[in-house]
Amino acid sequence: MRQRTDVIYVYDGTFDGFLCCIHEYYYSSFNPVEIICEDEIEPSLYQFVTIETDSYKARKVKTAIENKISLYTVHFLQECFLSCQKRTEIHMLWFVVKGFKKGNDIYRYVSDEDVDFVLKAHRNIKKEKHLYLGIVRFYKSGEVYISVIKPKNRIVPLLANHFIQRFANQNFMIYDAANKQALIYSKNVAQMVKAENIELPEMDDDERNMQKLWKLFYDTIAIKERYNPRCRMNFMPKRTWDLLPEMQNYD
Amino acid sequence: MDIFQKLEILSDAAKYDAACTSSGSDRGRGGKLGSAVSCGICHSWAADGRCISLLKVLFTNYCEFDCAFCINRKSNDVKRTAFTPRELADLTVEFYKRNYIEGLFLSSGVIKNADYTMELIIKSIRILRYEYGFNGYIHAKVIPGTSPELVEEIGFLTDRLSVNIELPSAKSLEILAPQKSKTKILTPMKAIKQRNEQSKQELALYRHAPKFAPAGQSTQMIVGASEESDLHILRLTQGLYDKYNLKRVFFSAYIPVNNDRLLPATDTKPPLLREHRLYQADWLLRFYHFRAEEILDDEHTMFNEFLDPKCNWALNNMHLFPVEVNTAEYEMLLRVPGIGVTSAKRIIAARKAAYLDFDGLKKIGVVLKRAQFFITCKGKSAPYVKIDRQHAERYLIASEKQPIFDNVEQTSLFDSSAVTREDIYKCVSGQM
Repeated sequence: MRQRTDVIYVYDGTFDGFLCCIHEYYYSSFNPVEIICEDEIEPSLYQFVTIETDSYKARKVKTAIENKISLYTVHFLQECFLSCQKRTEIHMLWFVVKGFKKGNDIYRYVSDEDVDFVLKAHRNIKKEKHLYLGIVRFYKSGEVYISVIKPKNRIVPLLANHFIQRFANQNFMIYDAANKQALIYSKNVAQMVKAENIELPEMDDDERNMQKLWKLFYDTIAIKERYNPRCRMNFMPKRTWDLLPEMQNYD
Repeated sequence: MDIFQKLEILSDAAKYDAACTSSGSDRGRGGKLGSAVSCGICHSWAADGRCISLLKVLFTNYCEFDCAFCINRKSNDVKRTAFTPRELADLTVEFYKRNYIEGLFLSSGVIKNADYTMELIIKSIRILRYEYGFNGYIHAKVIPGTSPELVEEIGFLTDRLSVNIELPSAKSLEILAPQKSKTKILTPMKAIKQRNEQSKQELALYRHAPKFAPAGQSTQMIVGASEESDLHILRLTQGLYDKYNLKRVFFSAYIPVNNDRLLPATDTKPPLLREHRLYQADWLLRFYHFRAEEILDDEHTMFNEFLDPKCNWALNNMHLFPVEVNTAEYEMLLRVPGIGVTSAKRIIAARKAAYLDFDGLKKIGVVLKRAQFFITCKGKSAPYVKIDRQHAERYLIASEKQPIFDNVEQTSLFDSSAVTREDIYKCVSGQM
């Protein structure tokens, strides 16, 4: 086998860009040790190789994954791609490379380091998505319902379907302040936007009252004799508290 | 009285209901507002660690019944109030639109009689379903003694129904809840079961047939207020699952709210560990193919305080172990402490591709701390582990966090002051 040079792939941060990294792996003689997004570049001893995003190459890799692994795998990888864990992309690359050899059975090789990483990253995202289906809180401002969240992963696209189905007749926005993106749904049209700086409208008194009412319910429903803060924190981590109206103090 | 006070009184009165699940129903488009997801969604967790997924309130806390254990009993002097159906519906919708809740859990004290109360409950739910087009989850309590027509009507409006069995035996019920009786409770339960099965058949024939309580029914009983043994409760639970097709049986540790000579003293602590063990056993019944007789028997009528029921069973049946992970059947894998439903399924899938070793099991999510005493991989047990009852028992008890020791401080040999470096030096050198 030819000698491969260790390098770092730099791509544009899109899913197509990531697919092009896989293409690059097969058509050049580099051995990627890391794949990073172009705005995350830090000084390193390894050589950087910039990967241009090319929709033709991306489509080619996509078809190969569909044919050699399974249709579901593309969907699976897209979900993993939303993970903000470090080194996700490189593990995903090795997952695909190994998948090309093993076919759809790749999901069964749980002892493999890369497979394990990717499966766990995927589970992690699904888990966080499910948590946020519950703890997204809207406040009403005029005719719009607004929510601000700070999830660890970029889960907003995964939340979209659920909330659109649930609040079909409502205009709403879910703003992910940690990853600077937002889902806007108005007049039956939904769109994802990048949002660096959003000015959110203030809450009026009626809305404050509604939040107080909710907090009142939240406080009364707990049974004092069974106070168990650890258990609560296991389910609802402290990092989520600052955006939940029931965890604020109103005086 | 404003809505704040009403909500405070009526949610405070409802908090002892254990159930707050929103699973088992799939409602999609069609209504104007809302949906239900079959896996259920928790929206928050209260300070006691219990999940909040539904707006859990009583319609009213006026009550004609005089159940000894209940805070809303007729003879108690507490502030009483009631929602109007409109108020309740508005509140639910406002909370729902802000994604605070998954739906409504409506229970009630008995005002006038069972039927009159049920009619009020139905009225509120009708406003929600028909006027607001509300398609979220609704769980309603059926009051013992409700007439069959009303049970029929409410079933088509809600996702889940429940009739509380309250106490684990007819005798305790007679003493502590004189207005309720075994037949009054079991009759609606049976009716719900039959109507639910009928509705499923109708759905198989006509896709758009109305659904009767698609998320099934559940019940709840108080543990620790009367003298039944764990075995008795577990057998009863199993019977309810077998005969009435219940989705869940909830247990609630008895919390003394009333001073009554028929009840345990008011300073009794809620038997939380017992409740926990019952839930563990309940899971074994529902997901692990266990029978009540395997978990407890006439010689052991109470749960082991130090070990969970599954470990306890495994230790008593050491002749079935060790299990070879790479070849064992699914049912046998489920019986290994430390392997749950998820990890058993993952093991079955993973071993089709490659042999599993202990490292692989760890990655799958098996709790090796417990499982190691009961399994082999490729014919070998884990390093330094003896497969032997006494050895396993000692380690399992030591590794489980023992709640009863929580507030006990370990007595120290060297009174309270710590041993200093100097002391050790003196010891070693023989200097006194």
